[in-house]
Amino acid sequence: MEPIIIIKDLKKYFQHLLVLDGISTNVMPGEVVVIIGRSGSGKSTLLRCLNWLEEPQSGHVLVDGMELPIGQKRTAEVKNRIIEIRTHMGMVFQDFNLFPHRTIIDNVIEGPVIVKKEDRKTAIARGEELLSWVGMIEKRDNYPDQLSGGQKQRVAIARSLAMEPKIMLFDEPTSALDPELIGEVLSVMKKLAEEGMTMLVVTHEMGFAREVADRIIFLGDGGIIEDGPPQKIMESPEHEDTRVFLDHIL
Amino acid sequence: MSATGDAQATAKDLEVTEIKLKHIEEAKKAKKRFVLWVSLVWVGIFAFLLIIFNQFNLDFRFMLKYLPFIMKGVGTTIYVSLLSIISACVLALFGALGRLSKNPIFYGIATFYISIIRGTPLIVQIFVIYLGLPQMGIVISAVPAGIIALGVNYGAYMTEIFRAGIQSIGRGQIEAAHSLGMTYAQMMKRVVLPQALRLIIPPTGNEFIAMLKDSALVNFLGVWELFFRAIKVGRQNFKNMETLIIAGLFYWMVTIIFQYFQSRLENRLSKGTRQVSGMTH
Repeated sequence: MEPIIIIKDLKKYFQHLLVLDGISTNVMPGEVVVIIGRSGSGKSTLLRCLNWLEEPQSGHVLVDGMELPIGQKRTAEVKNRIIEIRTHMGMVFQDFNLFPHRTIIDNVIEGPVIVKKEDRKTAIARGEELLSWVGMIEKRDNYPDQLSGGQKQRVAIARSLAMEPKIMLFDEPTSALDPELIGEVLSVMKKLAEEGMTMLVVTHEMGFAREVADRIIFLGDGGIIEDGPPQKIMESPEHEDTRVFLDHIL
Repeated sequence: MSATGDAQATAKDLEVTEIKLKHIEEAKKAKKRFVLWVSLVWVGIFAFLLIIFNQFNLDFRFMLKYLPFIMKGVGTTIYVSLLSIISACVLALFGALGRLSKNPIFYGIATFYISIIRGTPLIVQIFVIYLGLPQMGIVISAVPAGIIALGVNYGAYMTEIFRAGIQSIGRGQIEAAHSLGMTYAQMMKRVVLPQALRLIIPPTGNEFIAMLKDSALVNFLGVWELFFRAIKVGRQNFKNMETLIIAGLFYWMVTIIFQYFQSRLENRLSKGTRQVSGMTH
């Protein structure tokens, strides 16, 4: 089987600060990869480079066969390619970023109708299905600010899934939530993993990582310090840094 | 024990409710008193002004006679102002997008436009447009020339309002739109501008009210608006003070009316936010 994401020697600077110093790794279709690391270790930056919210300076990245235009001029073809890559990849943010001026169902159909030019009726039908799937169909006509954080995040997941992505990126999806609301979001993510979605998850929820992840990547000093199955990383890490970090958060 | 406890609790609740009601009642009375005093101050100052104006030896019969003639200018004033503010909004939107653009050409055009318009008097712009365009073979009558000049002028100032409104929309919203695959135009139209509008509308209302009065400047082009009519009959009869006071009163009345609509619109907008944000369930 071919990897769905291939990352080779990815480098990203902010001004003079080297955040990603030559990351290389592959992700297989259906794989769930949890990325951990101290704050500032570049975990979020890595995700954000993949869908071009951040522009890396060098390296090669293939997403579902499409090459990220690293170092390339912004031609019309490149712009279209970025959009194409983004529509193949859903992203869930720490602070949800639902569109506050639209109802829940309108949030969910926004991508399909505006970007994919899908027929509104079809989009609504599938949007309702997705809302049921994340357990939010009752709030169909509410506005985002009438929802709790956990509810918002479930809607945000539905909104991303409405684009029928092949890959889902989760950037600390539960970090902004009250502790009692974390579970509902994690269980939706677990369900998604069980359905075979390729997922890259930046999180500190080690229970989720142990249960759902196929691999854990520990990032530090701009590189991958350790990469392996959750069992191994969490119980017998090879690197001292990994052990210290896990001791801190567990 | 529980029975007496309950009774005590009810008694206490009643007392608390009474105190609350009393407070509400007092707050209402205080507000009424406030409004009453404000009205008295307004009436007082207005009466004082009337006394002063009376010293001008105004010819009231003349004023009454020419009131309808001057009033006919109100429509033109409102019409010119409305069309001007609409053109100003369009220009301000593009000006703001240019100001925020990373493209040096768009940024350059926008900043040059803002700089030259803010750096020269409106009256100069009005004449340059009215007298200059025909030199280039574009013959334009007074009303459209006035509307273009006012629109171009206010557009430059309102660029800042639009820019602030657009910039107030958080990065997260833009990133969410991008991650769904939206283009810049789709993101602006669907996500940023609808949210920015809430912040743009109230100050734009203010600009419109200012525009109502600045539109008096197009009288120099011979547009038959309020001020032009007032000056016209005033000069003919050597009674400038009378006609100017009439024109002033009309400007004031129109302003009050639009201010009323503006505050209603603002209330509705803020209610919208409360409805959307406020409650959690």
